[in-house]
Amino acid sequence: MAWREIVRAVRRYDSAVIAVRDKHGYPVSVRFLPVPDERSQTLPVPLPDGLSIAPGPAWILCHYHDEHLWSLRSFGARGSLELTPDGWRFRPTTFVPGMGGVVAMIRLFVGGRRRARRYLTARGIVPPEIRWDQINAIKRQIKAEHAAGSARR
Amino acid sequence: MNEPVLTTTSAAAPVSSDFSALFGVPAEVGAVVREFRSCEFSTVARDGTPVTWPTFPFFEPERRRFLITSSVGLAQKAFNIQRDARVAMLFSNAMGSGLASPPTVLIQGDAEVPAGLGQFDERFESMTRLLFERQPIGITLLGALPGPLRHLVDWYCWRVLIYVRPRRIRWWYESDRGGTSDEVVL
Repeated sequence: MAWREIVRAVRRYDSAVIAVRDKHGYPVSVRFLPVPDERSQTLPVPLPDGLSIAPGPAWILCHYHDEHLWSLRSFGARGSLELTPDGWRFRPTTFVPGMGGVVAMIRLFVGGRRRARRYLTARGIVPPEIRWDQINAIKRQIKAEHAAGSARR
Repeated sequence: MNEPVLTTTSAAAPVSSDFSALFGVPAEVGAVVREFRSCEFSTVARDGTPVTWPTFPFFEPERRRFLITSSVGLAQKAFNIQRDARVAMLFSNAMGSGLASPPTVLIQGDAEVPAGLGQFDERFESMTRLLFERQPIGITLLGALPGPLRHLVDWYCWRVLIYVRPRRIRWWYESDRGGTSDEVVL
């Protein structure tokens, strides 16, 4: 059941982002502290005033990266935003796995490669050759710059 | 995209590369856009649900827009934009930015996905440099793969380009939670 999966996953994060749509149809997102309410199986969401938000389809994202934009992990949940006498609440319906762990990595690389082939074939696109030499040259250059900077300090 | 590029010529004043000067927002907001390592990028799915995932935005001051790239194997956000151009970028995770108590910044905008894939040009080089500065492990792992295995990750480097032109910029501070935000409508 999505609720149990979401409650388990949300415990691994300090905060979450909720996305809904405003009266103009643009997405609006806000970070909040997710505290699951077992009784109603919803997450209370304190939203700032003035965002022109109405009840409707919504999404929450929890994600983490370290200072080096690494150790990536995430998950999403589809659901709806409801306005109750107690305020705004997110009611999840579907757990959407994201990054983090071996299974997610395998899913990313196997599924991603298959979808990439399909994307290119459908559009008749010949992809550019990946310039690994150029990428590695940039890497070496930046490392040298950092080393020179450290030596000066 | 056939739009005028704001270029610097001998007869014209240099174009500021600073987000805050370009859009008339406080310097703290510009610092967030410049220094944050990621943003939460929302597109609108077929059923109207805003779908949000973290991403790495690259600001192009001379065109007053953001560039976000996505592997062709992870192109759902591009498909969403082709149906509905309305998007949002939330800068709410200060990890790695070096900023203390920065405001939260929400940028709503219109996105477009040009045909074709990103090329290995000057822009690619500057993006790779920035990415390497900010995410050194990922690019090191990719670059360190032995030649015969590299074709297994080529798909990750074939990138769809997404341009986001800001329409509304909102910001608020931690102390304002539950209160109102400031904004600039463009």
